[in-house]
Amino acid sequence: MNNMSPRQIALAKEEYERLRPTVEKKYPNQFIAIDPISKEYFIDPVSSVALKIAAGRFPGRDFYITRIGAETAFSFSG
Amino acid sequence: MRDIIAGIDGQNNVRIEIEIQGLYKSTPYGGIVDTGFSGGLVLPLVTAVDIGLTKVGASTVTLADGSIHVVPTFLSKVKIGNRVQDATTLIMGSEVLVGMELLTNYRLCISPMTGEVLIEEWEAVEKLSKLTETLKRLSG
Repeated sequence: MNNMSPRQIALAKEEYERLRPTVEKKYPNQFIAIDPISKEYFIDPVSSVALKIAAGRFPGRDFYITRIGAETAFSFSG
Repeated sequence: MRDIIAGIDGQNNVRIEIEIQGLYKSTPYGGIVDTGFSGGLVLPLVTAVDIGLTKVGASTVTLADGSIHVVPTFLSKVKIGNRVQDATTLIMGSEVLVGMELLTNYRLCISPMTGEVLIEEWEAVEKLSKLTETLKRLSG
């Protein structure tokens, strides 16, 4: 299955680092879905909502999802 | 109100009945409730492809051992009881896991001693509480 390419992921992470100072203040702990092509991003407290809005705006594209201010979007606790 | 089927299986997993709705079909599963999983749903790749879910990108995930992974991410619709919700769906492993993001609107009570699991939609719980209050007021 095609996953996002490492290049796309790197571009999205780069964009997140650029946005980080602003979004961490305004939307802590919310989810952000970043389109590495347009650099547009979509934020919501619920991950599926952020993704649904993003997919509605750019159907068929791959978005990079993370949680603002956290290391990763999701976690499994032992 | 539709009852939600739930229980504890032979391996001590708490399972609830969910219906995953994709482009090709809707399929019922006995998903394992994983209260340690902060996201919505985890599915094996073969299941996601079979149902016809929409791929939307990739998410970063921290596993229980602290390792970080980037996993393919899909969007699905999941029905629990009467409520249908959009779910961010991570593709990994071989089990159907139901995480806390999907259970936000439910009250979950587990009794390992008796093997009982009670799961109720929050709206139904609220309505029942209001009805009980009203009856108390009316009966003085």
